Amino acid sequence: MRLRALWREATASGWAAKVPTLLVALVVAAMCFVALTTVGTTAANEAQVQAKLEAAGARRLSVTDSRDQGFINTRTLSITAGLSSVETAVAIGLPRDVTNGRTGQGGERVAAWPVQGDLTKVFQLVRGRMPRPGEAVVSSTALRKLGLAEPVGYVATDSKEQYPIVGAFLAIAPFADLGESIILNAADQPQARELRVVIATIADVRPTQNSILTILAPADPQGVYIESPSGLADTAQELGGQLAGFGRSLLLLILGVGAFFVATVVLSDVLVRRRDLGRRRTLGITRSFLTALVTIRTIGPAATGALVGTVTALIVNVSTGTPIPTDFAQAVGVLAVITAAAAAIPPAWYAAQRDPVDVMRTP
Amino acid sequence: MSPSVSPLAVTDLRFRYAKGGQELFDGLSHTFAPSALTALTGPSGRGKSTLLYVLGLLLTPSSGHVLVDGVNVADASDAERSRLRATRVGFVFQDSELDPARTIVDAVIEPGLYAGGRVVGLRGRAYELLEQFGLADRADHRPGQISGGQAQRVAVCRALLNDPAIVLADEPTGNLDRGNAERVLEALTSAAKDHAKTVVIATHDPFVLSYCDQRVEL
Repeated sequence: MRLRALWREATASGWAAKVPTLLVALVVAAMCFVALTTVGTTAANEAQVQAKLEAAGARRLSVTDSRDQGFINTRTLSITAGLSSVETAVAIGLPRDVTNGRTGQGGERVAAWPVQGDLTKVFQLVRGRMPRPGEAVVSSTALRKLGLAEPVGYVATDSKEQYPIVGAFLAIAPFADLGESIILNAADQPQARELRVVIATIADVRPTQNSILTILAPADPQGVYIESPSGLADTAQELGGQLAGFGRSLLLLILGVGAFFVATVVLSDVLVRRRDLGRRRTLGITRSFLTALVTIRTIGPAATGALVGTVTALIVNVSTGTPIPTDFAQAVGVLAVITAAAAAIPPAWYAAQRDPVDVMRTP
Repeated sequence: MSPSVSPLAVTDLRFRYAKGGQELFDGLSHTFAPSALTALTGPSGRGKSTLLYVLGLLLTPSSGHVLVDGVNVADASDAERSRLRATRVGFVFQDSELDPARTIVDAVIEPGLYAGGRVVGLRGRAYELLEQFGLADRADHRPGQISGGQAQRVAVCRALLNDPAIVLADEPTGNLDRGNAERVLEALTSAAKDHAKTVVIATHDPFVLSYCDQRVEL
């Protein structure tokens, strides 16, 4: 039998038996709807929690050289930035107070932070250009405090060190604490006070922290202050595991119940239509093609039901403010169709094994 | 197939439904003649329909051989039996057994699909047969829209679709009045004479027997 003919027969046969076809579609639609409004909500919550935990701010590791041992320097910064699990690494020095160079010491004082590393990861330039070593960019707050209308001119320290202003910036997380001040390009300075690292994923926090401490190798551990999200990473993994485990169990339960109902509907259908199946066997269809015929005629309504159930659940979840991840919804739909097809195989196989003579002979 | 080999024969055939059950056929040996109607007849319970289903490869004999084109297929696999049923055997049931949801032409092409044919080609063949048996104007009707006699003639068309060597009919006129029975028997006679088929009919109806060329008494 040709596959196209098999598909044609299955479609016609399914269309002819409207009640079981409708029942299969309803069961699969219910499977998808229930799964997506329960497990889907859990998955959406899990995704939200994970997104928060994976935010750059939550992946920030900070190591401070509180006794100026000099282990945060150009070399250790470069090695740290090269680690595959490190998204961003910059070194930040001690801030110094500066004033508008044109107004002199009488002007308002603003903190200027010397920063080494890839400055494009620290702030977004909104005006002007990126600073070269020894140059400064200012935040909008700092611009106002300095009495500047445009990011031009220069700032100066009490000790007469001058830094030309070449642009204005907007700080990027997790460097928002620098957002109201001035940033100095300190690439020409040999060492810094703080190494601030954004780790690629929350799961990498603990091994990356160990690697960085090995790279820094501080002579006096007492002079090292570490601010790490490792506790948060543990919580994230535990929470993710719990939510995923709960979701999996619930999804399996829903699919299992759905499969039972689909199998019952298909079994009832093959028992009711035993003469139809017996005629097909007598006329020469093989057992394997008969099994395939019954299974395929379940897949059509199952796919329709999955589409209806998934779309309905998506609409309901969006309207209740808990949108489900689309890929998760698609996966549930596909899984429901596969489950329905698998559930149809045992009754289909049973139908194929029945003796057609029992069915066809007239007493 | 050699010209001298009959499409259908049995040798030393015995059949028992279950252990301890009555044995049927008593070592029957018979060669069914091509281009002829052979009646399987005898009192009720002697196994007329059972023999028909053994010949149709739906039942396996307890012992003996069923020879299709000279080859013993009594012990063939289910897949091989299905293939032979689709390609070498046509069935006519007592109730026409047409799919009520399909049109007449789609009902006729059914065994052709199981034999691996393409729908378009099969439909052409089905229209030819329906034309030949006076049913062309019913091709797009549903089985519920035609008479019992017409349905049985459609069943004959279905049995002939794959140009099988053998046509098996189980009480094909059992539910028909005399006029319709005549037409169905003429169709089966035409199948045997005009299409050179080996037609075997299980019946105890003397009217049907009057159409048959040979009898196998059970």
